[in-house]
Amino acid sequence: MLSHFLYIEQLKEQLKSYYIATRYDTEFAQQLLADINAKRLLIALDAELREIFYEQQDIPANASGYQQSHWFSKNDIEYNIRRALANLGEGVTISAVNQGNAQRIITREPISWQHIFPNIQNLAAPLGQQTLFDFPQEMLFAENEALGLSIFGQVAAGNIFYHGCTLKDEVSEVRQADIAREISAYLPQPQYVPLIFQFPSAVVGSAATNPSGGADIFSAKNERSVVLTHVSTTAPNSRLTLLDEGRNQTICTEVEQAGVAGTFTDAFEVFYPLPYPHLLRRGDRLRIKVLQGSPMYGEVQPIDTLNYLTFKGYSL
Amino acid sequence: MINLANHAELTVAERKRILNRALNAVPFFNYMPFEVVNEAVKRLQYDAKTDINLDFFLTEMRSNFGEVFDVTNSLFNLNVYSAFLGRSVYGFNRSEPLPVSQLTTEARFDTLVANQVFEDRQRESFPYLIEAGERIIAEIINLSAKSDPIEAGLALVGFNILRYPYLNNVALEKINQSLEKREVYQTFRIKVDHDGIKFYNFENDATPRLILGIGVVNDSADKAEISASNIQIEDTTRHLKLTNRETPVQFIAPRLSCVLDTHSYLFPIEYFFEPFGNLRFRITNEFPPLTEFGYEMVILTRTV
Repeated sequence: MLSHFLYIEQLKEQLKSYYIATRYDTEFAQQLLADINAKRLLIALDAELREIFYEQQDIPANASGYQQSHWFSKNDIEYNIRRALANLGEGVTISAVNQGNAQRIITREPISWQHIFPNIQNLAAPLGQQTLFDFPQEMLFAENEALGLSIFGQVAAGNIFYHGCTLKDEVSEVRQADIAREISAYLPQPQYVPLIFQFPSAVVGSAATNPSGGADIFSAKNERSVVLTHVSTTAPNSRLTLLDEGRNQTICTEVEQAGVAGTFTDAFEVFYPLPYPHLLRRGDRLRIKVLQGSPMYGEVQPIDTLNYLTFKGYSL
Repeated sequence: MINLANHAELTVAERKRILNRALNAVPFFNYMPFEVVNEAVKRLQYDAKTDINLDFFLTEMRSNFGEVFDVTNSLFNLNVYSAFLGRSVYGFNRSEPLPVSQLTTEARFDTLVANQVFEDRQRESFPYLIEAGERIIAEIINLSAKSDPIEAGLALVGFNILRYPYLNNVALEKINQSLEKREVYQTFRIKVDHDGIKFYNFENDATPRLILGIGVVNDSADKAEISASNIQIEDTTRHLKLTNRETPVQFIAPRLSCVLDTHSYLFPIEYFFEPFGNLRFRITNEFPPLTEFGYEMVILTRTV
């Protein structure tokens, strides 16, 4: 089975071995622990250096079905795109190019979009994909480069959701030492970070509130840093703005929730992997603003029902 | 999951390390049933408890609330916490119910392709230590106005660490012989097609093996035609139990028919199947009226 975060999966196996080894060979257990901690530090620093983002690109309805010049770019900063979900018509083809000082062609000929984008989930047939796939290789873009798309055969409105990250220049030595200290203090445990909200109104565009009716929707604070890896939602018919308050990072702005998180289908588990692991620092909180209604699905969420946007991960 | 540790190109040193952990641990399924009854109230709570008398490392939770939803159209929230420490086993700094589907893997029973809208992967979380003597409470909240009476269940899947690893001279000699050769994968199969209680035995030959997982394929794609089946697993040679009580098969292996996706769940940890060992499955199988469709069960093993 392929995993989106192979290092983290390996860490789980090493941790099992460590717990068992403490009972029969303490020297070997210590050796394993050193390996585990080195890997944890590597994952944490990588997560600290990356600032993940979700972006929504709207493809307007066009009677001719021939659309050029759709650009995606993060201004003035290098960025990576790991995958993109699409809500496009069945027979639609695309051409993609990395547009910079030199054009780097991604698709030699127009190809069906299903080759490179996973399909958005639908509640009716076709059901779309619960298991996302990434680009064959993550796409790297310099500050002056943009992803250019030409789309053929898309008559109705559509959407593309980009999952990626920008890169920080460095992590300060103080911060590195802080992470290392935290790692040596305890072992990883599973962690869920839910954000709970409800809609008081069915009017499209009205804001969700927290369960007490207040405007601020935060996650609970944690005394440990948490590496977030997956996300699931019970409110696909809404739009999400997500911020990490501690890092002062806007992760997405008014993006359809279905483009970010796996949609809880009735009672079955569906999680989407994050573009890259995200480090929610000790004591920090995630904050969301959610708007009622999904222009993509043309539906609204039921009112006065608790909804859950739940992140899954492990304590650092 | 253990498939990462047990890939095809293992060195002898890696094989020894995996063997060591298999000798010292045993996979375990703690099954907690709930009776969800028909009550016209908004929030209804059911508690079930499991006593865990060895240090238990929880790696995954499985439930059949997707199945319950199909029958009752009721949604549920779930809260799983330890009674003495009062800690949530999936901790987010407070103990609070979450949608059941965000916490558990569905114990798959419905076999129709049209119903395969949920993710077909098995998920595992980081091991969470539940100490010996702890009691785990699972609390279920019915979010719907009403539901028909139905049995729901939650399985805590993980492994126990053995106080005294078992290894006799024959096993030791055979392990050394096996390590000189390359490892070989092999499946063992039984066919469950009886009505009532019956014992099935997976009997090993002279080769020491590791059991990696269990798979099930139903004889019929029609859910209404297939049997309800509960199993208890016990190693009669090493006198180890792998289940705390009779557990519906789908909590141990996904019950599917011909759909082309995951047919087996991997164990949380490799199980050491000693030479000439016997793994006994006590299976209570009940056919629905007028049909006699059972299932095929397979255990996936490799030599050590």
